[in-house]
Amino acid sequence: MSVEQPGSDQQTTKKISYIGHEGLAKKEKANSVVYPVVRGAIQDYDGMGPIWEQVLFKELGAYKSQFQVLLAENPIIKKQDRPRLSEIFFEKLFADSVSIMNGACLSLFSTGKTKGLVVEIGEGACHTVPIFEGFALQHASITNDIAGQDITNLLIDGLVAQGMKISKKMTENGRDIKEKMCSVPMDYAMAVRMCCSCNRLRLMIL
Amino acid sequence: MNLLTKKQDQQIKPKKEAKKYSEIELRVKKMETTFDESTVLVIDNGTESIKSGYSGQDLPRVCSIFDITIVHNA
Repeated sequence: MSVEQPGSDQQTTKKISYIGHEGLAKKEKANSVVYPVVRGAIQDYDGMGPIWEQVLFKELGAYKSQFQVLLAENPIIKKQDRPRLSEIFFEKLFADSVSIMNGACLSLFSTGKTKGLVVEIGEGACHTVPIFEGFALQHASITNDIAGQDITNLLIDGLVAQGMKISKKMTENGRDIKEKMCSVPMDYAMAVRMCCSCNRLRLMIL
Repeated sequence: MNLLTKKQDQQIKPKKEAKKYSEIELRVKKMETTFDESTVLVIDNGTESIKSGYSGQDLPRVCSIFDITIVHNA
C-alpha cells in the first residue's frame, strides 16, 4: 500500500513509502529503509506516521476525525515523548481523543486483576513491571536489552560459521527459521546427549 | 411522618421543575452518550510488528504489519 507522505513539501522529489510486507519485497531497490522503533522505543516519529495512517484508515476502517485511540506505551517512555505522540494523533491524524496508558498495566487489566508482576519478553527489549492497585511502580521496574532480536542474530552468526550462504542483513529470513524450526528443550543436558549420539541429525546447539 | 414527607415533597418538587440544564451540562451529556456508543481503537507499537484492533474484542485484528517503512523517490 503506497502512501504519499504529507510532510514532504519539496515539489521536485515526491516521496512514496511502502509499509510492511510490501515494503520487504521492495527492500533492495529502496532509497532508504527506516526502522522507526528501535529497542521498544519510537525513535523516528516521521517514519511512524504512514504506518499509523495505514493501520487506522485502511486496515481498521476508521473515519477521519471520528475516532478515539488508546495507545499502549512503553513502560520506560520518557515524559518528553508523550506530547509529541499526542500532537501527531491530534494534528496529523485528526483523532477525537487520545489516551496513553502503560502497556504492562493494560495487559494485567485484561486478565481482571489489579495487582501483579508483568514480565514482557519482546523483540527488542524485556520488561518486568510490578503493578500495585493499578499503578506501575516505576522505581522497581527493570528493563533488559537482550531479547528476540539478539537470538536471531546469534542464529544467523551460527549458520554463517557452519558455511551456510546467509548474509547478516537477512534478519527476516533468520526470524522465519527461528520461529518455525527452533525449540527450547526442557532438559538441556539430555538434549545435547541426544544430538551427539544421533549422527543423522545435524542440529545446532546455541 | 406524613407531614414530614409532605413538607419534603413540597421543598423538592419546585426545585426539580425549576432545574434546567445549562449549555455546558447538555454538551457533557451528549459527549458521554457518544463516547459510550462508539468503539475505541487500541494500538500497541512494537519493535517487530504493530498490534491494533477494536476495544472489547479478545484478539487484535491487525498484528502482522512489520514496523518498517521504505521510501522511494519517484
